[in-house]
This record gives sequence, structure tokens and C-alpha cells, in this order.
Amino acid sequence: MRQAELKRHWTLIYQLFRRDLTERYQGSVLGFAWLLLQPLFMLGLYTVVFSEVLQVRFNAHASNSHFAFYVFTGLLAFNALSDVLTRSSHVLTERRDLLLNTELASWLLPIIPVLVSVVLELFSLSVLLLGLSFNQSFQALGLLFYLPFLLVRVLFSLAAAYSLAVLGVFLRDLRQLVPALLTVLLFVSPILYPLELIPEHLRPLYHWNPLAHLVEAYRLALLQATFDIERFLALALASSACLAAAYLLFQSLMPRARYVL
Amino acid sequence: MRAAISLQQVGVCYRRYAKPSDALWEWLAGRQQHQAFHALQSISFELAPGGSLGIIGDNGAGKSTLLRLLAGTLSPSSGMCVVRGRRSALLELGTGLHGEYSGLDNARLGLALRGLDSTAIERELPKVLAFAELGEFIQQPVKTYSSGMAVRLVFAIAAVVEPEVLIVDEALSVGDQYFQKKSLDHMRATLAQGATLVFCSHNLYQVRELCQQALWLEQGKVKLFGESQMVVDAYQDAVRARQQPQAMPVNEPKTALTTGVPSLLEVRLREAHEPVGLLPVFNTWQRFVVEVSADSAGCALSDIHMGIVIRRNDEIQCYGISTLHDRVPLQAQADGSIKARLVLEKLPLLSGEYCLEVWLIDSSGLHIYDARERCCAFRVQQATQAQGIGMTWMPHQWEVEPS
Repeated sequence: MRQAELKRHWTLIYQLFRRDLTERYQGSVLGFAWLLLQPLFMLGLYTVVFSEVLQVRFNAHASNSHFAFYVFTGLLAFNALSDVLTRSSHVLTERRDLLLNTELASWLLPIIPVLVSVVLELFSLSVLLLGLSFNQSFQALGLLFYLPFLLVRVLFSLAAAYSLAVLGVFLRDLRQLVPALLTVLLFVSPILYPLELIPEHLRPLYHWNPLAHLVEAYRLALLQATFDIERFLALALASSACLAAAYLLFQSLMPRARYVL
Repeated sequence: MRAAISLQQVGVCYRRYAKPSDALWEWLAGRQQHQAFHALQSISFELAPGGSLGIIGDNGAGKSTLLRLLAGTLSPSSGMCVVRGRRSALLELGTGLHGEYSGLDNARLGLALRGLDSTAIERELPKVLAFAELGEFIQQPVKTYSSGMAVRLVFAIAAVVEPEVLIVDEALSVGDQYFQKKSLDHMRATLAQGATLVFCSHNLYQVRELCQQALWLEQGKVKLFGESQMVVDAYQDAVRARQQPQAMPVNEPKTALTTGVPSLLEVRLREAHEPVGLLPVFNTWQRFVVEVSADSAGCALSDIHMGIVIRRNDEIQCYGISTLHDRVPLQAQADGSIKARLVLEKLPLLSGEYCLEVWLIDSSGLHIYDARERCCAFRVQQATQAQGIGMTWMPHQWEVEPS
């Protein structure tokens, strides 16, 4: 692709992204402050519920507040992904007008919810880092180790966005179905509970859940400042393969999708 | 010089599915589940750079599809469609506008969609605002705009791009008079700068004024393509002819009758151009002659008069006159036949399809001996739009108040 063309695509993505983000908070009193307030509220809630009310402790050495961070880190990845999944199933139908009446390249559209999710995740991340520094357990190295996994998360999100976006045109039911599936995904991944709680014989199943690995990797990086290279390579490979397949599906179904948009 | 727009055997076929999901099952199972609808079929034409093309035709003839094709928002199902140069399209009203966003945000996105990068957008933005003349409203969400305001914004966005190919759909018809003029002027200026224009409108006058060439679409096919005056005339004739239920009977000469009642023998047009297989053609302002021959059948010549009415094919009587009203006595030949000519030195009729009614009446004007209705169909072609619009040229002058 020529540089000029790339620049034009980028301008277009930026404009669509800006509109998307403004739309989200349009008309609300606090506006963009919600980007920060929402995760702040959640972290506060988890801290109170897990450490004061339930007094959960997933191992003997850990402090109570640690479990709140543990859950919050898991939700960091999950919430961002879930945002992409809910949005992308109708990202094409919402922009039907632009797709049919302008020269807009359709492959740009599914990128938008992914970009928005990165912004949401970064705000949540800053809240987490703030909380960790309060707790004096912030490790700068952890942040560095986290970034490669953010990339993996983005690749998975893109794969999901491309396939859901184009399938959503044909199967309008996806819009109803996705939230239900997300709840399932939340419970089959060790996000609200540690993997150790799962009975021994069920654990191998978790090996096949990429989200479980991603969540673990996020925690290892951000809370323990360790980088699991093996996990990274496996996830990077898997996510790239998924993205390639999803993009192929998107491109081969798109001409048909135009008939029923 | 390479054509700015070149279409070769272009076809567009829409597929209709009962449900959106059918399109997916069709892909998976390979069994056809759609009904094909051919919006355009084997369209071929070329337009040179700097040319202007008007697209006319009935609703559903495929005009919008053709425009979308040219605008690049639709790709042909078959054939080749090439548009060379930067293009900017103004399709249906309000497309590309998002109700929740301000006019300003919409302008930014609109410019980005037309291929401008960020720096270019900020540079061109003031021009858009100046052209749209929306004032304070530019900060308001577009959903609060009237349709006229929305079209201003859309046109302003399309206008600043300085396209090499400008494609304009009906959109203009909703703007107010002032803005319509402004946008027409802009289109003219764009043309003057050497851009190519494709313009689709139900306003045939505008098409004739603005476009050198015109394309008449009928049921997805090219009915006629050529010089706009000619195409628009033909289209108007067809529309009028459709409004008139009966077909025009051919003018067949009758042999002399000896029933004792005067009768018409023959009605002929003189001095027309007669293209093979087509209607005779007269030019506006040329000499126009109708020759009528009749049989007096022994009737007193003072009791026979002739009347001729020119009727347009939408049933409007343009002009009718008779020897009775003009007080012209008829004369008979030795065999009792009458021959008379109606001569208009300077036919004032403008472009259109017309026919004649010829009457043979008595001196009271009430009794009709014989009549030919809808005979001698002919066409009138005006040389330029400068001869005016409507049915007929009227003698006139302009008096301008001196400053």
C-alpha cells in the first residue's frame, strides 16, 4: 500500500474512532470522566466486597486487597474483549449508510471498536497501577511485560471483530446472543476465581481456553512482574492465525453482505 | 485523450434474499436462494474529460444505481467501469451524515471519506463552512437540521474537494432557491475548470442547460445516448405519448368519394426533413406547410371551409385556425377537388412531438363534413435552448430599466 493511501486510511480511522468515542459519552453529565470513574468505582467495589465482606484469600500469604487486584486484572482483559464483541456484531449494520453510499473501505470498520477497547483498557490499567502504587506493590517492569500481551489481546479482538462484524450482517440474532455467550465466557475462564479452585480433573479443559491463558499472563505480568515467554509465543501464534482466518472470512463474505445490508 | 468515464457492457445485478441469513446459507450450501434483479444491463458509453452528462429516465430505471457505480460505492456485477481522476459524489440526500454529530464533525468525516488527510481537512474546513453558510448551526447536531440545511452541508463538503469528476444526484431539489442557484453555479464553475460532470435530475431543463450529452435509461438499459437536446426531447416525447392513450393512426389517403358530402382526400406536410423510418422533422422558425386536398362533391364552395389544428402529443391544442375564421374562400378544380395550403413562414413551435387535426366544415362552423384526427404526426426540433422553453416561441422584447 502506498504511503498516501495509508495516511488516508489512518485519517479515516481516526475520524471514525473519535466519533465513536464521543458518541459513547454524548449527553452524559460527566462525559469523558467516565473513562476513569467507571474502573475506579469497580476497583473500589471489589476491594470492599472481597477484602472486607467476603474476606476471600486465594492463598495463605496473600493480603485481602491482593484478591481485588487479582480480579480487577482479570477483568481488564475480559471487559475490553467483551466490549469489542458486543459492539462488533452490529458495527456494519450501524454504518450501513456509509458503507453503501461512500467509498469507505469496509475492512476499516471493525478496527474501530478494537481501538475504543484499547482506550478503555488503558484507563482501567491506569486505575490499577494507581491502586498498586497505593498498596506499594507497583512494579515498573510488570508494565513492560504487560504490553506484549496487550498486543495479543488486540489481535484476538480484531479476529473476533472481523468475524462477528460480517456474520452479524447475516445473523441479526448475534446481537442478542453475544451478551449471553459473554456471560458463559466469563464463568469458564478463571477471572472471578483462581484456577486452583477448579477440581483437578477439569483443569486440562482450561488449557484450551485462550482467554484463561491471557488472563493468567496479564496477572503474571502486572502483579508479579514475570514474563511467560512460552505463553506469549503460543498466544501470539494462535491470535495471528485467528486473525488471518477471520480476515479471510470477512473479505470473502463481504460482497454478499452488501446485498443484505 | 483517454475518456474520463468509460463503461463497457456494465451490468449490475442485485440479489434479493427473503432473510439476511439466507445469503449465508447460500454461501455455505452452494444452493441458490436469491432472486436476481438486474438493475442495469449492458451499459456502454464514454465521456471525455471536461464533458458533462445528464442522466434521465423514469423512477426505477436505474439512474441511482448508475450514479453509485460511477461514484465507486458499488461495483459492477459484469463488465468494466472505469472512472479516471479524483471523484466526488453527491448521492441521495443526507447520506454520510450522522444525526448525532455536529455539522463540523460531519464535515470532518465527510472530507476524510473523500480521501483528505488530517492536515488537508483542517485546511479545507473553513471553505466548507463558508460554502454551507450554516452559521451557528454548524455546532449543532445534524439531526436538528432541516433537509435544506443538510443538503447545503453535503454539497459544501463535496464542493471543496475540487474533483476531476463530479457526480450529482437529485439532491439539489431540496435546497432553497438561493442555494440551488449557488450549487448550480458551482457545478458550472467546476465544469469550466475542466472537470467532468455527471448530473442526474428530473428537472429536464437543468439537464439541458448544464449538460452537453444525455443518457436516457429505461428499465436498466440505455434507451438513447447523445447530444442532450436531442435525448431530452425524445424523452419528453415519450413521456407525453404515454400520457395519451390511443396511438396515432397513420395518414392514409382516401380515394374520392361521391356520396354528395364533401370529404377530405389527403393531408400532407411539406418542407419537412424526413428521416427514414422516423417522424418528419421541422426546425423551429422554419417554413411549415400543410397541404390539404378535398372533394367538394358538388357542394357549393361557399358552404365548405377547412380547419387545421396543431395538437401536441399530450393533447394540448397549440393552435387552430380555419378558412372560415380567416375569411378565405376556397376554389375548386375542374374535377371538383379542392386544394389548399396552410403556410407558417416561421414555425414558432418548440421541441416536441405534434400532430394535426383537419376539419371540413360548413359555413356555420357547426356541421362537420369530414375530419381527420391525429394525423400527420411530426416532430419539431429547436436548434438551441436559447429559443426558449415550453411549447411555442412568443414574440417578445426585454426592457431593462437604465441605471
